[in-house]
Amino acid sequence: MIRDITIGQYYPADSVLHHLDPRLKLNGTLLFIISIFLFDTFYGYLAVTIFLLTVIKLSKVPLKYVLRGLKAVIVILIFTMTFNLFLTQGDVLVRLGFLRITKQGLHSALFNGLRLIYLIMGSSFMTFTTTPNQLTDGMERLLRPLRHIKVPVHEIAMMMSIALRFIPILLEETDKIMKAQMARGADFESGGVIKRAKGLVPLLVPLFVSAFRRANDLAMAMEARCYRGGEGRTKMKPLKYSRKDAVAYLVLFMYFAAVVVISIYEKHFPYFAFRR
Amino acid sequence: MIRLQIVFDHVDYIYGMGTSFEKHALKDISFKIKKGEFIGLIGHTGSGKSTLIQHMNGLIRATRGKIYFNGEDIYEKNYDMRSLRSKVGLVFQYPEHQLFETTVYKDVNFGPRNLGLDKLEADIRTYEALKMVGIGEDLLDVSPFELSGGQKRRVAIAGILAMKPEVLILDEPTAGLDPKGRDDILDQIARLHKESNITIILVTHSMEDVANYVDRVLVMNKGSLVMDEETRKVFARYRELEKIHLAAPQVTYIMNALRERGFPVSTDATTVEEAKNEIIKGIKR
Repeated sequence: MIRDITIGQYYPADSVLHHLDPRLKLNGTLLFIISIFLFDTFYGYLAVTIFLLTVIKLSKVPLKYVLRGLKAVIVILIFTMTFNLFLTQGDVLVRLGFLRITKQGLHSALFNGLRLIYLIMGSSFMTFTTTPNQLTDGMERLLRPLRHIKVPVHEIAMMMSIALRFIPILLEETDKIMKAQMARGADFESGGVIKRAKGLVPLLVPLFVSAFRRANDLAMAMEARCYRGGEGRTKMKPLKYSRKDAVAYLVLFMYFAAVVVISIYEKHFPYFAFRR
Repeated sequence: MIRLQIVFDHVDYIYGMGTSFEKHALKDISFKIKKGEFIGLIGHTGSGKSTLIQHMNGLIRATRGKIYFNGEDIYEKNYDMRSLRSKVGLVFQYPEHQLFETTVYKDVNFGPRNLGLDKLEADIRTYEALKMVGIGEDLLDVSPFELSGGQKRRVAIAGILAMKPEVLILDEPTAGLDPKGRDDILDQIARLHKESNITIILVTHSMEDVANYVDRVLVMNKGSLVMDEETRKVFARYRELEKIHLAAPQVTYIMNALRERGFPVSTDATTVEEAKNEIIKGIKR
């Protein structure tokens, strides 16, 4: 049950994407997110969809696994889509009592829903194909210029990597404690809101206790290995761009250029319907 | 009449089906457990012991196969899983990590309260359970987080005992305890078994514990059940145990070594006490 949450998890596989430089994947994700939010035309989205499907295919992460990640945001998704559907002004299509569905509403519900889905899927690919360590290495490297304005880049990266590393551990712990309490007759599934909230106490208290215990142990272990922050620290595996990364950058920029061109073209020649 | 209490009928469990995490955690497991038996479950780390015991009270659902408790199929549509969980008490590894209440008393009381018992009955069971594990009345109102490691563990075990299960499963109840704490807990479990005749399944790494307390042993290896025999017979096959990264108690090795050198002892002895008697007999001979 709890293992269904796949956002932020690493999915081990031997694919092209897994071997790319984390910096590239960070930049790529950023570019992808921008491309989702810049454009709202049909063919623009088609391009985004094709790109995303290619990425899924290349990553060797099963589609089922990717889609499972969406479960966690389904509530937000439904909210967004409902509000967009009923509260957008414009040409009325259907009237249901005091509710109206407009053409514009339908359009924005559809596209905003799609946007959210793509956003989740696109960004989860970064974590699917990159280990937390690589990810924070990449982040640290990319943010390095900020050191000049006294941003503790290494410390932030370290905090991130620890937080990411702890997600699966705490999920597993939650699963374990849940089972242990269910073995004592605890019920997490039935009853009203208040009863359910109360029912979480036997889960949350041990979870917090264990999170603090783990944090304590980790701090001790780091101390014992003389960790003292980023100053003068070297890497065992320094990041290096390879030819594969160059190719990937090229593909990425071509994709971005394509989406820009398509969108501008469609804005100026809006013959393909589906316009606001 | 001796009743069959737990029956596993060709149980398979596959974890993370269809992903690269996919793991065949249990392979075609079949066995029967009679009421009142004291069973040891051994196996190397990752052999599927913990997965197996979680099937016994329905926390994990088998991918294939059937499980019967007291003659009833637990995967039957209207089967009452919550009542199964109260009858099959499962003490997880490091059970002290599940403590959450403000006092020892309230924590142990959690289980019986969930069973829907009236306050008096729940209270009586709580006192009894705490007494069984040797936690004195002076600790009732103390926060469980202030206790020592061994005390915490006993309180957590009491939390399960207070539900008066018919079967008690303990997943490495002595892991991380000092030798004294270990013996205390095991002796208390053995006494419980003798006095109330409940079925006990002990998951452990320690062959000495198995030799000292257990009647019958189930041996797991890589998700399969490879042996299911009387303790003595299992340890007689110590060469096979070694192949799956297990071992017999040290006493078995000593007795075998003595025998190889021509000293007239039986190699059956599995506990220190038995070995002592055997050796004395051998000397007198």
